[in-house]
Amino acid sequence: MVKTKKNTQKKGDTTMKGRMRLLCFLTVVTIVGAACGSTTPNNVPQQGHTPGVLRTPGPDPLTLDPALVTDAGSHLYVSNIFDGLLTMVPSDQDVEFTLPDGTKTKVKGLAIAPDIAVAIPDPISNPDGTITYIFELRQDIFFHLGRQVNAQDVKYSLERATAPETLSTAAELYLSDIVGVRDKLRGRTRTVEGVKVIDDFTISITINGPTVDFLWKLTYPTAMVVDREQIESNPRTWTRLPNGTGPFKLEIYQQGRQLVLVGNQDYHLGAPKLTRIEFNLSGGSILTAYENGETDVSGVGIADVDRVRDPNDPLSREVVEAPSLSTSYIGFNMSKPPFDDILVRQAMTQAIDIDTIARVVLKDMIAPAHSIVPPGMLGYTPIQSKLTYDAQKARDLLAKSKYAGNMPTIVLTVSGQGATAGPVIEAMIEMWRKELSLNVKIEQVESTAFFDNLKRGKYQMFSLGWVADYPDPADFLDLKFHSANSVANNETQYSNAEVDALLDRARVESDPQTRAQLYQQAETIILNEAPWLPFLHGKTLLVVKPYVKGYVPSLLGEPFYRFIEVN
Amino acid sequence: MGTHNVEDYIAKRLKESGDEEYFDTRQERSRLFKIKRWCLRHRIASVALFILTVLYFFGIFASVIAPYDPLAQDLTNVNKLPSAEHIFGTDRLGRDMFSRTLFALRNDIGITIATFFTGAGMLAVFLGMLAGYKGGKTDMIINRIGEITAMLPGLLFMILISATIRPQYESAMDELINSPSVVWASSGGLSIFLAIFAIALCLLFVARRLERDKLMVLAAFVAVSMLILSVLAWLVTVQGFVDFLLIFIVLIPFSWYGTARIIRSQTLSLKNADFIEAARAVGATDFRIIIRHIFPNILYLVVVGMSAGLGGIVFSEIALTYLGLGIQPPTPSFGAMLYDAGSIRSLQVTPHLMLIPSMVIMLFVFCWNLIGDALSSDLTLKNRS
Repeated sequence: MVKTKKNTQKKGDTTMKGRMRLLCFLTVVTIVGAACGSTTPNNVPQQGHTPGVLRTPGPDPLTLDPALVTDAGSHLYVSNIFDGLLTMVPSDQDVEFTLPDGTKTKVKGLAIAPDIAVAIPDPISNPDGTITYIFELRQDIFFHLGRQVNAQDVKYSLERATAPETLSTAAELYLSDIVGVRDKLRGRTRTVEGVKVIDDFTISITINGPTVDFLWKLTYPTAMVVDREQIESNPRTWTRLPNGTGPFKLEIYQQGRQLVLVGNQDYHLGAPKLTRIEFNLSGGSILTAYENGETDVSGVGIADVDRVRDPNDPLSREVVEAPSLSTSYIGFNMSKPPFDDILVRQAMTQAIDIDTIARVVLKDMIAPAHSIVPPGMLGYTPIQSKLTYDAQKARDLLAKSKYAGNMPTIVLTVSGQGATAGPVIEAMIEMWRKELSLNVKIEQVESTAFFDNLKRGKYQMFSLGWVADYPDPADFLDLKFHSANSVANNETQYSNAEVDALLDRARVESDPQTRAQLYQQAETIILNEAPWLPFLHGKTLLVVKPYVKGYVPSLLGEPFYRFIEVN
Repeated sequence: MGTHNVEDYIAKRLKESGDEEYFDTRQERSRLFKIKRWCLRHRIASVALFILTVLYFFGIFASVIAPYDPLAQDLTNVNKLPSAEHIFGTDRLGRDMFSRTLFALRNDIGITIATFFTGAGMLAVFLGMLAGYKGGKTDMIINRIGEITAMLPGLLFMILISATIRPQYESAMDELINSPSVVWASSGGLSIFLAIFAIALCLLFVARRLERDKLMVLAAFVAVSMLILSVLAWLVTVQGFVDFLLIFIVLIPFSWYGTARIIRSQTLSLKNADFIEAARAVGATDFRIIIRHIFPNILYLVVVGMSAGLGGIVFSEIALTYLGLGIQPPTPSFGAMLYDAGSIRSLQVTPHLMLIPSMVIMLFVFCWNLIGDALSSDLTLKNRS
């Protein structure tokens, strides 16, 4: 899923600070507005915590429609309101991380678990080479409004997500393995051939070939079950109060102010221990609010890193630090000059001294990236880009490029508002200016418009982050660099037949070691051709109140809210 | 001129009548003595004037004075408090805050100068006089347009405009700035413009002495347009010019009406004054009346209106930049500096990053307001007497 500034959980990521501050400004306006109108009980500041109620800052979701989710901000809520056939849970296996300073930490891995399905089905090979999974559904699953979920609902949800009029760009990524989905996405068919209802509580899904990560893909919101009756009776506004089956129900969503989830006591996988989660979407000085006891969780910004790491500071005892499977990168759109020239991309990559930026500007809070796939990925050995910082080489490369001397204007587009694009971007802009004499302009675009234009391939160069949707290198390499994917997903329009072949082979390779090797080969080629300039791998740095139990951000950067307790 | 016309007339007659002594004292009073007396009467305002002069000097010559490149980062030397090496300290990318402050100041000075000499100032005077003097339909149309712009929420509208037209605007400006004529104007052209300006100015004075109205207007027109051209030619060389030109263009529709309305009302009352009637009675044309009698009498108002308004214009720039719609990074600007440093933690750890820019902004805006106050108190006193 796409990570932007909106991701409040990743407070450590400096790029989101801008967002928070603008929201702070807007809050003042909203509060003044509210004061003029009626007084709502939600504006009464709460002192102290209530057992069972979690108060946390949160990002404003771009959408609450599971089919449309592509960003981390929306994923956070949608994955708690809805359920798919399968879900992700913390696994018993630990994943070992090597941090940039050489220390190793262990983090709980992730595993697939049945959700609406009774069990994880075994693949059945068909004579024509396709694979079929037969899902038996639980019979105790009800929407929040009371209707029972059956196989028709699952079929409807998958077909709705892949319908061209739904305009889902995620369907291509997570569902196109299913037979008939590509035809359906192009509007050639009305139904998806590979999804068949066998009886009320049995459904079969047939995929094109033996794909290793297909079941992981089913855990993504695109495959979650939505209520047909609600959508058809209310096609425009149903996402204001979506009716799901998940562990939490949406109670209130006020854009830019708050989002409240209440626990679903009848949840089929066990009632969540929280009765209520209050997400504060308005930002502000969250760490101050945390110290005043107005919120139970807060991200830690760069300015506060030294403080929370100081053992004498009381906050240092409440720190939760967890690596996440994510990579921040600059994307070079290869269909737009000057980035159609590999030398320009390589030069711009080699001109960036990301280690120094990470050490000085980010105070080692976030690891510098030298690869696309983040360390800690299952079955994956980290590899290093050959295009490391070397100013002289960068200058030489640029001098050899066909654009030397007549460089077109370069505009770096970033999502968000505010006076600056954050220190990391600014430091990089200055490095390009100093080492390569390139004046790169920054353009900031409001996030909805940003994604809209990005998915149409309108930007020449952009700054973005990608958080893993499931712990597999395919989630980075196959989704972002396979030339069969549309520009909405392969934003840099990277296309290399050799890479495609390697990715195709890896997709069906069942031996984990061979598979990892194939991905490494593909990644080495991609890194050298530099469609991405990866610069940071994610890390979540939070402070959490001691009475909140089980708040551990997973590898995907989000905590499992249904396992959290507030005493 | 204007109200002074009578005095001039008396002085002239006195001179003719041979009363030299009276004439001399008046001459003395009208120059240094008057300035001195003004400063003594408005002590705070004269301090403000002095501070503004210093700020303008530093801003205009920023590229000469600044000890460092405002964009050059030194990652081994970040977040340093003020020291001998960096008198305002360094920011979180190790950039020299003093140099950045100077360049940020230069932007705001560019905006005030541009507003003063071009759009808002000239537009307000011209439309105000036109509306007041012509009356009737012209008055109605100008006023309704003005009321519409005044009715729109200025800041929100500025946000809307700069958020929507920016991409097209930027690509158009890119082409324009790199076009040969603009490049010529900013290098060799500047001195030629200034030379023509000086000649036109001399001509203006000569024409005024000779009472040749048409020539005077022509000279004034040439002088003003040369001044605008040279200001623009200077601004093109200023980094981030494109950004603040947009702010400036966006500000024009919202900043003219206030002044124009005051000027209109003054023109209305002047129109029926005795000396205008007299001028009309002896057969002066409308043109001559406006130039010789009305304009000099409202000039004072223009100065007051503008000086009080400039603080506000600087403030709008800072607000727009703070919201990400004004001057774009990495060009230094106060809005961005405050945005970067605007958190409690940053105030505790690196207070200079927030305090220095806010102090300079405060001085800048405050001084303009103080001068505006002083001038308007003069005006009310004068009106009363």
